[in-house]
Parts: sequence; C-alpha cells; structure tokens
Amino acid sequence: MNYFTLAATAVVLGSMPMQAFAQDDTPVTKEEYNELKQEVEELKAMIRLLTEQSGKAPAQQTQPTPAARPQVRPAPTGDRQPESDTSLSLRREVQRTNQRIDDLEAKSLANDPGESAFHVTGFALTRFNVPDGGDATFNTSISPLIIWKINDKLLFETEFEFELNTADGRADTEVVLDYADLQFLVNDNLTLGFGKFLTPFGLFSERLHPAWINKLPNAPLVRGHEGLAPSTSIGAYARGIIPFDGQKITYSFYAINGGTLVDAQRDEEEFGSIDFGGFSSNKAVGGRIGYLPVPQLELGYSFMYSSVDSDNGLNANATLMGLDASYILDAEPGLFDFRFEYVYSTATDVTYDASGGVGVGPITFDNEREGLYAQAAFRPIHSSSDFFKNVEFVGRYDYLSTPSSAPEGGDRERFTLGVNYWFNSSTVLKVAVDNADYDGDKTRQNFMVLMGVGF
Amino acid sequence: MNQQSKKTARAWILGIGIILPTMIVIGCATNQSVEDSEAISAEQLALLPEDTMRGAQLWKDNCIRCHNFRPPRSFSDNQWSVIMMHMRVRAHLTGGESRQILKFLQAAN
Repeated sequence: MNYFTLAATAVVLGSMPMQAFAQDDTPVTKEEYNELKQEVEELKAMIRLLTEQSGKAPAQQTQPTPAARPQVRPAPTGDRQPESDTSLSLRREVQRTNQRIDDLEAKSLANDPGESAFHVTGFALTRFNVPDGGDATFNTSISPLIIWKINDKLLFETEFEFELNTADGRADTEVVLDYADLQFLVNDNLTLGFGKFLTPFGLFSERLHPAWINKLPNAPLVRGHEGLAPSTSIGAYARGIIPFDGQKITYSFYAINGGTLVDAQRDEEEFGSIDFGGFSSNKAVGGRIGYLPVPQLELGYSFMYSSVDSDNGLNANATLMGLDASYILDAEPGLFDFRFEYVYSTATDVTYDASGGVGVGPITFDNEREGLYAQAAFRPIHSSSDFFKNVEFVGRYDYLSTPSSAPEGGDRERFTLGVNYWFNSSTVLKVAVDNADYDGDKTRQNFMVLMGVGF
Repeated sequence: MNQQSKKTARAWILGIGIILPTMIVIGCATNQSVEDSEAISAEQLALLPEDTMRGAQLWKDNCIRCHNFRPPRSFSDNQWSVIMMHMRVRAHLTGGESRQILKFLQAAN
C-alpha cells in the first residue's frame, strides 16, 4: 500500500464514522464510545505508519492524552518543498480528529455519574378479588423504592406505598411509608442501619413481599395483616455475614420500638393480639441467624423479646420465635422453589376488661399463638414449549392458631392454589383460589387475580 | 340459590371468563420465552474472562434465592452499581461477592 492510498484511507476512516458523533447534546452510549475508540485507534495506527514512512519516529504512548496524540508536522517553510494537497488534507483531518476526541472526552466527562447516584425501582400491582359471599372488586397500588447511593459506604433507601383505600365505597389514595433507612457499610461483612426497616424476622417480610416476588396473590396468614411477627420496625440494626468453606452464616440483630398489646378498650374483637404496626414507646430486641450450607438452601432462626404494655395500663411482655427454610432446585423438569416459615408467639397472661366496663370481661387466657406456611412452586423452565416455560404452578398451606378464649380465636387453615404466567422476569399474571377453614365450622373461598410488575 | 350466591357465581364466571382467554391469547402471542430472550447462554458465558465468570455464577446462585434473574441489560452500569449495593445488604452478600456480580452485570449489559 503506498503513501497516497494510506493517506486517503486515513481521511475516509477519520471522517466517515465521526459523522455519527456529530457535536450535539445527545448522550454517548457505551457502544458508540467503544466504536469510536476503535476507529480512533485504527486511525492512529495508520497515521503512525505514515509518520514512520515519512521518517519521523512514532509516538509510543497507548493512552490518547492530548499531549500524546498524533501531532501534525508544522507547515513547510522557506527552503523546504511545498506541501502536497494530500499531505495538507491529511494534516487537516488529523486536526479535526483531535478536536473530535477532545469533544468526546468532554462529553464523556459530562456524563460521568459521579460517586453519588439515585435509582428508582419498586413494584406495582392490580388485583381482582372475588371473596366468598362478598362483592368482586378491583384494586391497585404502587410501591416505589428509592435507593440513594451516597458513596461506597453509605446507602439510603425508602419505599412507600400508594394504595387505594376503598373503605365505605370510596377510593381515597392512602400513602404508607413502608421503610426508610440509612445503611452504613462498615466493611465487606458488616452493615449498620438506622431508621424504619423491613424486620429481619423470617423470610417473607424482608425478601418475598413485593408483588412480583411473592408467588401467590395473597400473603401467608402468619406473615400477613393478621400475622404474628412485625414486617417493619423503627430502630437500629447490625447485620452481616460470616463466610467459611463456601458456606455462610448470616446474622441480623436489632433494637426497635416494640409492639403494643391490644386491650379490650382499644378493640373488642382483637384484644390479646399484639400490634406491631403502630408507634409505641415500648422497646424490643431481636434478631435472625441464617445458615447457608450451599446458596440454594437457607435455614433461619428468628427471635424477639418485646415489652408490649397496652395503651390503657396493662403491663406485659412478649416473646416471639421463628424458624424458616427455603430451597431452590434447578432440576431436569424445571425449577422447584420451596418455602417454609413457622412463628410462635407468647405474651404475659393479663386480665382484659378487668372492671367489666367494656362488657367483654373480666377475661384471662393463655396468650399463646402459632402459625406456619409451607409453599411449593414449580416452573418448567427447561420445557421445549415457549408457553409452558413461562407458566408456574404454586401451592401453599397456611395454619394459624390463636387462643380459643380470645375473640375470633381458634384454629384456621387455608389452602391456596395458583397458576402464574411470566411475561418477563418481573412481570407476572397470577390467578389463584384459596379455601380457608375457620376452626372446622366455617369455610370460605376466594378467587384472586393479580397483575404484578417489578420495575 | 340465593341472591348472594348468584352474585358470587357471576363474579367467578366473569373473572375466569376474562382472565383465562387473556392468558391464552397473550401466551400464544409471546413468540419468545423469557428464558430465550433474557438468559445468558452457555456460549456467551464461555466468552467471559474468568473473574467475570465467577460473578456470573454468583449472580446465578444468589438472585434466584428470592426472585427471577433480572437480565443484565435491564439496567445501565450506573444503575447496577446502586442496585447491587442495595442487594448486598438485603441478600446478605459479602462485599467481594457483590463486586464480582457487579463486574459481571456491567460487562454483560
């Protein structure tokens, strides 16, 4: 290849791809940047070859710093031969290329995200519910999660829920602050947190509650609205990992505002239960220890001890314990997903409505409660059918036992069967039916459809 | 059959009548499965450098403990760096594991 061919090639290579990166305000994508970088490298190699052929030593730097970029020889002077048209054209093109590289670097620096960064994620759902003997309704909610990476050590995150409050036939929008906490990543294995956070008691509240993760449209009885353990708490926590031999022990310990014992003055139909959702000056401590012998299997033990004095002067304490297990199996037929949680709760025996003023007492009972759920899901991800690959079958058994002397007390069982269709990794249509048995004498069915999306 | 039972039965029929055909139509219209469109193939994995491969394995092992894999192309490099810091705490990942998964996601997106 002669000098003129090389020069012409360099001019063409140097000018054509650059048109794609005209100087405007559009952001540069990684692909565009890499493509341009490659073109510039090719151009530089050609210029270096040309320079060598013309007797000048090439620059050795590999990084295209402004000082190291291919420089154009000064225009010929005095006694030297006049510069040819091709040489002049090449010199101008190199100047333009250098200018474009400077512009690109400036644009790249302008798009540098810096150390601090926001990301908005979360989930949304629309539910269609047909309760036994009740009216069929649609409802919807959205729960944005804002994550703010302050720097490599500090993270703030908050999730709030916008939900339609359909009580009394209205559709007011209700906003709930699910959690908002600041996390300090002390080192690779320890994190400290402060604020309102998802309580690390069992698995469901902390990791499985979003609509696109929970595999059924309803929540387990023991962890849902009437559940025994808190889903969020206000306070401080420390959590971390102890890795060893390919296994892991995980831990979370916290000190929080405790629960409140519901007394008869507050609620005639739920006295004896513990309200962890309100704001209380009682205090509690607790934690969870997890063990992962392999990533697919996790076993956990949770505990909490809380002062639960009631609003109207009943002094009591509560102790909660929980066991959880999860196992994921990617086998030949497909993906199996097993979950299990058990929660036990006991509170000091106290006498409710001691004066009889409310009209339900005086009454004292042994305030022990327990509940569990066992869930299995199967998705034939290795199926040759594009349709069935995205179908998931789910079944769950729920059990909740409350003191028979307490209002609404007794044993409750529920079976839920569902079929899901996954449109992508975080968009799912769930169809399920449940059958709940109340202490053996009442049975209710629910038909539920839920469209959930994680974003 | 009393009025309430009739009401419930109508709601069930309405629900099933809307949902099942919708699922079938949408399902049949989905030419590409989630796995085909989003998963990283073994051939693609084989092209990755060894340390990035380790991140891919950690991504595969840990994400599925709670939810489906989010494909690397779902988010930009910068978004993944925020998400992985969040997931490091939530999923009890070590700092090292988190960095390796992030390296894979940023290389594969």
